[in-house]
Amino acid sequence: MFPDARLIFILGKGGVGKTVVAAAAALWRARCAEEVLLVEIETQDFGVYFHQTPLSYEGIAVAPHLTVASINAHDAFTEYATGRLGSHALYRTLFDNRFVHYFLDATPGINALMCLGKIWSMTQTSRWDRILVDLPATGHGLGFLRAPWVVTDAVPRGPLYEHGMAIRSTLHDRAQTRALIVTLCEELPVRETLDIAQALRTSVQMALGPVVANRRRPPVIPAAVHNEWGTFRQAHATDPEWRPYLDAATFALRHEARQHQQEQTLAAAFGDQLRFLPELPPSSTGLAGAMAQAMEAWQ
Amino acid sequence: MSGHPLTSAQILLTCGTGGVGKTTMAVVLGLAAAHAGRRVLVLTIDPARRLANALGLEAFDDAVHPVWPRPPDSAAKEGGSLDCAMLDVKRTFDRVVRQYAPSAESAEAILGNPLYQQLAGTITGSQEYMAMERLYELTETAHPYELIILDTPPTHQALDFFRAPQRMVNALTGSMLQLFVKPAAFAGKIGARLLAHSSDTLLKFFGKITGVDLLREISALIVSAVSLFDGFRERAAAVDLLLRDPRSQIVLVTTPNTEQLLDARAFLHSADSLGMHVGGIILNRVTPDFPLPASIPAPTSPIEHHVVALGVQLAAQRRADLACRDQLCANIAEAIPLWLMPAEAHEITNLEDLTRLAHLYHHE
Repeated sequence: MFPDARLIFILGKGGVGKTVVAAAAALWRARCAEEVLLVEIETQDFGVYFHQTPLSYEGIAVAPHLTVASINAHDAFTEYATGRLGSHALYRTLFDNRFVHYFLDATPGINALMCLGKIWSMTQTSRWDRILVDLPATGHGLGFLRAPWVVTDAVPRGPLYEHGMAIRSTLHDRAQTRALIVTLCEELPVRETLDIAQALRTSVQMALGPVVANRRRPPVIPAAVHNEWGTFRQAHATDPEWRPYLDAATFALRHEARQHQQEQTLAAAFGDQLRFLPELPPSSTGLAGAMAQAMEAWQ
Repeated sequence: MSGHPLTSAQILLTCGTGGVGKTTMAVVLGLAAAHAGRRVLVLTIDPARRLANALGLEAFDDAVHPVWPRPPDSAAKEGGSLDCAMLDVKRTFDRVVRQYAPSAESAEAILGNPLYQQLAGTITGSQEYMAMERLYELTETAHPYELIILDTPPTHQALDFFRAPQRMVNALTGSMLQLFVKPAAFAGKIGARLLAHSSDTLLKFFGKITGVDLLREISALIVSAVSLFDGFRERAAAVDLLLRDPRSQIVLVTTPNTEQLLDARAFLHSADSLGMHVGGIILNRVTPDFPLPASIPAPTSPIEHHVVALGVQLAAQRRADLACRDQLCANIAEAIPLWLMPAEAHEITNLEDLTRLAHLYHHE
């Protein structure tokens, strides 16, 4: 199951596999014949998954029904300002790159607002069935989504205010926009996921889509024989030949129990919004495809 | 390098990418030094709740909390002690503004500006800058500590931390000032001629894009913040000097996987070129050793089969981890100590767990 919303923001702590999950989700939806736009911001990380470098601001088709774009604040500002002035020539004449660069650097929230504005403008056309946005790793990612609030709260008038308000209303509409959080069943990522969910509710006011727990391991001892473990351990506890094996298994089971505890925390917080992805063999080229296949089980 | 970092350094900075157990290791290092008889303060950024509980702390705030020995046993201590405090970025930023502003009024003007409220939390490098600021504050005031351990914010590249404060200062001073003091200089060539240095006209056009109110707030913030910039710059330079002192040492925390080994190698290289001193490397979460007998028991049932497979699998993991260690050893100077910390099968839930880990430092 995947939310109906057209615009989906992907959030998560660094190192949980956020970018590859975004790439896989895009690939999955494109294989379902949706017209998909996959967006990253100020980076070129998707190139490796789709054998396509460099990526462009306008977007490049990388697979049937799938276009990937790498947007940035500078180009987004140029586009926005040209629209405001009504003339690209006037914009070019008045403001060369350095001026804009400094303005973007110096004004809190303006970079993110410009990028969100670009994404928002793409929701205003019927070209895309689905727009997936890989946000910078958390903290930063939430700060990004906060940008329209930052700007509209600081300056309650003028063109940027109106721009910010238009973006806010789209982000706020659960029929149009959802947040997808990627996590692992480990303490820090789970805790951060709860924090992100909280911030989405209170300060960003964006509806939560699925929460994806990545890299779930198969059971250490399969369920079919798991109930034999206790008796087996007792029977061999003093056997020196078996002892190191028992210690190793105990270690692995304790580790698994920790992960299980984190899974329960996630399940309690997110209920049927929680989805799992299995641990997959590391591979930069095949990983997104294999993961997209695993996502089909969600339906 | 003179002496063991735990007994000789005055400042230790634990560095590493996110999720390697950096904060836990900062506390464990602190305990090890405290048990060796030193008075230690650990300054963390954002500890996991479990770690806070393990330290016996209900809430983390700016204040200093005694961790070891626990207050009732304080009489029993023989010199060594461990205190912990957490960095509050916003509060430190506010304090810096109050300290450097020429008057109380200008401090309030900055603190009350709606853009400042956002600036403190969102500008790139502010967390890193404030961590440095807090460290410097501590070293400049009279304090009882022989060793301060700073748990640095997680970075993509471990050494980004050291460049961040300078970057923040540059972003603030460079961009803000240039934008409003001499905007005409930044207009295109033809534009500049047209404008004839009239920044009013330029700002009017720019206001058409952004709204005049936003520009007014920005320039108000800049006018009141200009007085801070010299202080910021001076302080960044002073912190830089402090960190290059041989008594300040970096401890790199990493885990055994190939990708991170590459990072570690790059880290050592750039630490060297920045003039930083590396006091040690912690290879964290090494798979423990379960010495399997030479002959593998012949499994006769499915459960036996699985248990044997697990033992073999963990032994292979252990070998891979040690291969990582060897690779790391081959890349570092012999004088730099390398500590192996075992992967824990259970959560670290109390001070005893941390202390047990701390004792491992002395046994290396």
